[in-house]
Amino acid sequence: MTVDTPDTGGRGLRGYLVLTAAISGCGVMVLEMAAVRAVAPYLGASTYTWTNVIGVMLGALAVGYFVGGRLADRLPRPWALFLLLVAGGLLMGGLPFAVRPVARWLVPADIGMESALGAVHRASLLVTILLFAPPTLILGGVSPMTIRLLAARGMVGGAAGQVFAASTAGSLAGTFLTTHLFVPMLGTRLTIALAGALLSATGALGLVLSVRGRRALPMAALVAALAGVLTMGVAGAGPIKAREGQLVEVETAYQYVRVVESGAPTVRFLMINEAEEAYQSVRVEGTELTEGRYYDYYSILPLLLGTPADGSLDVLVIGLAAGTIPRQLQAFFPAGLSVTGVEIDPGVLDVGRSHFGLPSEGDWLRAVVGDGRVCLNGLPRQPTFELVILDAFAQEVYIPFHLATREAFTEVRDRLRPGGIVALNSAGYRPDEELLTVLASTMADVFGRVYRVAVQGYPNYMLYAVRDGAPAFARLARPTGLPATPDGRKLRDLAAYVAASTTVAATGGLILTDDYAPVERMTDSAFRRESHAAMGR
Amino acid sequence: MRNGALLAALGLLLTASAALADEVADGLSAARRSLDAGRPREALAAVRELVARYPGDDRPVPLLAFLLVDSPTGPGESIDLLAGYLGRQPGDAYALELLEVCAERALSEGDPELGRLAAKILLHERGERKEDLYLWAEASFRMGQMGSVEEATRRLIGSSPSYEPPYWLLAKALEEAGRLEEAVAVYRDLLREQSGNVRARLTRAGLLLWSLRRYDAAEEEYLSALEMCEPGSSLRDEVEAGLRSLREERERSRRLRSQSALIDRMLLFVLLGWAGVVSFLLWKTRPASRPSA
Repeated sequence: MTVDTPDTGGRGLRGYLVLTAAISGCGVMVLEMAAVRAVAPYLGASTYTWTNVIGVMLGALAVGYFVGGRLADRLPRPWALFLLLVAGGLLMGGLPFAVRPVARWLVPADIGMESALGAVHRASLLVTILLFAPPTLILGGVSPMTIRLLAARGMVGGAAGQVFAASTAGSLAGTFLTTHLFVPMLGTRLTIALAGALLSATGALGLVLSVRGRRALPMAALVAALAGVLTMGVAGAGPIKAREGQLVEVETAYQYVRVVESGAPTVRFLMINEAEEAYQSVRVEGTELTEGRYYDYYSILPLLLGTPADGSLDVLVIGLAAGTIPRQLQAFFPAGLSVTGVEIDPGVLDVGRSHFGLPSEGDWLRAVVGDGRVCLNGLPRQPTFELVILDAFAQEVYIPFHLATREAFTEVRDRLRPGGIVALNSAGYRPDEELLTVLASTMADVFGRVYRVAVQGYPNYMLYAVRDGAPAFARLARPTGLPATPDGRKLRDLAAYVAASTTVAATGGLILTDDYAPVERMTDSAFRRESHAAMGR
Repeated sequence: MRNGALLAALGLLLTASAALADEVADGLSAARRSLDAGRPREALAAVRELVARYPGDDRPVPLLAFLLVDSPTGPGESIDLLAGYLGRQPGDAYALELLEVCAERALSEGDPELGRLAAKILLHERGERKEDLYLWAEASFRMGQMGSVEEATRRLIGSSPSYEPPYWLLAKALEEAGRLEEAVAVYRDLLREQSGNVRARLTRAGLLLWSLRRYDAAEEEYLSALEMCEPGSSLRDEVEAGLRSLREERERSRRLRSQSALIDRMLLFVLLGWAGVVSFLLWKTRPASRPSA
């Protein structure tokens, strides 16, 4: 077989080829950025998911470049390039329909697999290879084919430079627009479908321009119709996740958020991404308490403080979410209460206000949108707070490492009044969990003695420490000033349990620093051990 | 003459002491009456005044310590008073009993350091009573000193195998240290001593189920516990709930295993499939062979 000199037509088609490279680059990056968002509701958005998506797509692109280069030499025809684009676009447009059934088949919602992290990580690899690699591989072939077509007159260097520049510029646009514009405005599924439609349409138009025959128009019309049907299908598709009791779902700039209700009395949960059992905020009908969940433990902390001289109770909550903690504090300790709550995701605050009774900005609550550590660093370095509660989580289960280091706790200490308390909740299936010990060691390095109490009936522990002093345990055992309501009595019982069950936390081993804080590894190993145990391994 | 003066002085001194002693005794009686009449604050104020006025007289100290046990600041002051008092009046049975109450109160109010101090004095004063050694072990547990807990509780179990509390404390300490198999063994030892102890059986079953995931062994314990429970008792409800959880967990475990295996099989299949597809593409697009010369 001899290689034909490609017919790239006139200057118009050559320009169109460069545009094609740009649109293809844009499509690849839209797909890459949106892929994590697409799988997050089912398989999470952990570092492993990101790694799987980026790794698989780079692998698919590499194969695409290689095969595309060979194909370009064998078939240097514009119509072949545009057919590739059409195929890649249509495959991409179909992805939003495929993700949920495949992910749900691998990780069913009803068996709480979110804690079986190893299996979920492998499932995210599988889904990415199965669904996202094929369109990426095809789109990978676009650049070498375009270079071959543009380099027909021997100007290979110039052609390659043109194509790389256009493709990279398109990739840049795809990256920024997906994060800042498309996903927040359109949602993930529609973003992917529209990007697929754009690729298909570009390919179809290219076919019309390059073939110029009688068959080109019907073919282009067919492609356009298919892309349109896919896009409309995605636009009209139902909720991303459907579950009994689901009140709302939102794709925020950071994550997939939904509100689910269940049980009697009704318990309302704020859930993020893949969660089916874990939650970020809770509201129980008819009570401010949360049926013994760890939030209730934060509410007894003001009892451990000596009564502040000026009668104020200034609290900093990092990880405000939908506001379970400040609402409880307001219910039990309204006098002098002032809460500063930091939440990274404004979408979560909106859901908190609409579904969890999170009050709007007022006398006693100030909600700050931002990263917890950045906001903490930005607060004046003076003893302001009686209580600092670190309740931020990243990707469902991880305490953000930069909020768990010696430097972070030093920042906290400098903003606590003497006798003030810092507390955090850590997931822990067993009392000898490495993460618990390391967190306690890191806190102890800054505060001295650290106390620990197990949350009854839940795999959580609350760690707390006092700046320059000891907790007022006697006050906790015989609390005064709590309302004489059923909630007040429950909180009194809980306070007695905490007084009788708190132990000095075991310390030793690593101290987490901004430079080295393998919180994710330690969390994963706890979850892995638990899921292996659950699987009987 | 000189002796006569000395005797007169001694007589005067004794008379004055007796008068003082009477005042203290009267004051104490009045304070007790206030206490009996339900006026503890008044009693406390009176005894405090006695202690301040007659610092050399130890008699008001135990009552003051008693009145301070329930003070809002906790039993710390009582323990301090009793520690000093027992230094001067070793072996005072009332003070020792009161100190024991203070130690228990300190532990329930979350101040293990104080509880440990009180237990240490009790051990020193009363020899190695099992209750005192247990208090010391419990305080050590709350202070996170699991080595001391293990040592004390194993000694207690060795010397008084039918005494139940140290088994629970030792098992908890071993759990804290992640020595779960040993904790299970401690419950087994307790059940050897008290085969009808349903609570121990239930706790052992829970440990086997939730921490060690040994479903069959846990089921065996739950079923044994079920046989021992009275129908309709709250303990029976707990055992039945445990059995239900066990069956749900076992089913969940089975499904987790099966899904995990499915993911592994599919991953292998897809990787092999991709290898095939890529090989096919490479073969189909292989460069055309050069024509022979």
